Amino acid sequence: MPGTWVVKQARGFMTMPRNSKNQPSQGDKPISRDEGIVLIGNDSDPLYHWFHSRLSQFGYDVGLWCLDDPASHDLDLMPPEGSLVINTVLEKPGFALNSYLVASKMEGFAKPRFILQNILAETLLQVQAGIEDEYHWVGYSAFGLYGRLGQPQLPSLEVIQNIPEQVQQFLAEIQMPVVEVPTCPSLITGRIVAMLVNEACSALMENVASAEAIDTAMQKGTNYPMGPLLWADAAGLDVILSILNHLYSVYREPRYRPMRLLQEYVLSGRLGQKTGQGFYIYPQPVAS
Amino acid sequence: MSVFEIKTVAVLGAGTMGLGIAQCATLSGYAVNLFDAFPDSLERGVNTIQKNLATLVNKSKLSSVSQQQALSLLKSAVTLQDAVSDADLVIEAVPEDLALKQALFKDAYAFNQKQETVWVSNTSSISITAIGKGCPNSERFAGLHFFNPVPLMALVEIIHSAKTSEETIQQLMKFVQSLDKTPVIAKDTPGFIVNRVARPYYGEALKLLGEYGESAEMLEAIDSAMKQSGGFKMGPFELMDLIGIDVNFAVTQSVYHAYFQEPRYQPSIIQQAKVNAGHLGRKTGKGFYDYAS
Repeated sequence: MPGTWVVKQARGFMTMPRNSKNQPSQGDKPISRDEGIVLIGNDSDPLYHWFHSRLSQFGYDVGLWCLDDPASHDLDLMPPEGSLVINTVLEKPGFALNSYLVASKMEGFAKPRFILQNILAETLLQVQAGIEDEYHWVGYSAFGLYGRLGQPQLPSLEVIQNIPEQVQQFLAEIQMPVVEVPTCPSLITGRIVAMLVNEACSALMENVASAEAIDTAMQKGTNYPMGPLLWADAAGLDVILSILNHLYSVYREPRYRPMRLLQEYVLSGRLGQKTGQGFYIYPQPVAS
Repeated sequence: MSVFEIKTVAVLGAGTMGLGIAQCATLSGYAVNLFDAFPDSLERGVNTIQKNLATLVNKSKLSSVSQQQALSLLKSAVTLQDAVSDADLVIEAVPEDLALKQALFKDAYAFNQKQETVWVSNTSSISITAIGKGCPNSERFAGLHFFNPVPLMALVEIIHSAKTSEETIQQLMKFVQSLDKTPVIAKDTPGFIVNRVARPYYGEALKLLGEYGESAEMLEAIDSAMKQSGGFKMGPFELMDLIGIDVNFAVTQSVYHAYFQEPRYQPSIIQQAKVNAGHLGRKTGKGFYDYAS
């Protein structure tokens, strides 16, 4: 059963610094359907589309800010009272922070109180570096949903511990199961699966076995929900590479070095299901 | 050209894996010669198989007819010669010790000099090429790696060395399929597929534990996230407790050293500490978690 289980604050430097500016500016007011939600994402990302349909299904007014569609970058299209920004984009350090851009543009309308920020490839500390704002950033990862959206039981979102009550309520409203996790780089599932993918990739490069044999072995030999290479194709090889690059930049340890094959596939645009080719070839790119 | 068919299987070693393999083979209609260097172990092994089959019958998962058939196919081989002389396939499943395996095979080759006999090792961590070094027909030597518990786990890794022939591989494929299991073919490399690719499942979890300190909250956080978000049946720490922390640690060390201390396979001192303390998991009542006796 999905839980909202609370972790005690980790000790010492691992404790997320509580910036007093990051307090909800409007007390206990819940995130209401009328206020509306801004959803930022990439057209090629199945999770962006999944969140859109989920929010609409539960009656939320959604303003879509699609990075691939400049026509959508229009404040008049955004809900004027938008209280929540959900950023599904895999932001990378050094790139423009889309959620902040959108949120800061909405000043003069209603300030979003919460920003649900995808932190698979950057930490919240990096997100907030140098930003003076009054938003309450809630780090999450939806990695577990990749390739598994059709499951009878929806995989949980991983959300950084101490989720504000309003966000907890909101996630419960859209029947999104949640598991609370400590502030680990790339959180838990994405991190471990990315490393499994990297290892599977190394086995492939060494000609240990075929891609199909590797995936079959991990499903039948050790009961993984999906073979790692198929999982990478479902999530996007760019997502896997971003996670590994993030881990490598945080830890500077050789264990996180992305395999050359993965790097070359991404460089050549071979990103998995969304481009029709990854470790496997898909007759048609899988519709988002 | 007579078509070679595997009809009689010798299983050398009446430990957990050997017994599981023997049981599955008899249930699939193969004559099995089970051998162990220790007569007590052999006797216990045969009793275990009898008990297992009886349990399956009680649970209506096996008919008594099939049970009787399987038992009639199982032979206790008193000597190594009894075990291998009429075997078409010899499966070695003794402890993970290269010298022991090589010596056993060397003795066995003397008792079965048929060209077609297939010789395989169930090793999970030793080079197939190394084990098969003394084989007179090296193209008939391969690895056949089952997973624990054998009756339940569908996967079998078929391992080819540089010398294993394609024909041998195909015959082993057919054999595995006849056991109703799923074969995959892999090259003779440390950990083959599963034990190599799975290393980060434990390695990353242990690394996180090392960073945050071992606490009940952290263990639960990682195991819960992997199950609820990742969809895994068991989280890394629960799984290590089930497999046996010592077993898991040994595999990690094996792959790490086989790759000349490749950093990403580096074992964890947390695991080492548990092994030193005798906290091996379920089998000792305590591992990462506590288990009521």
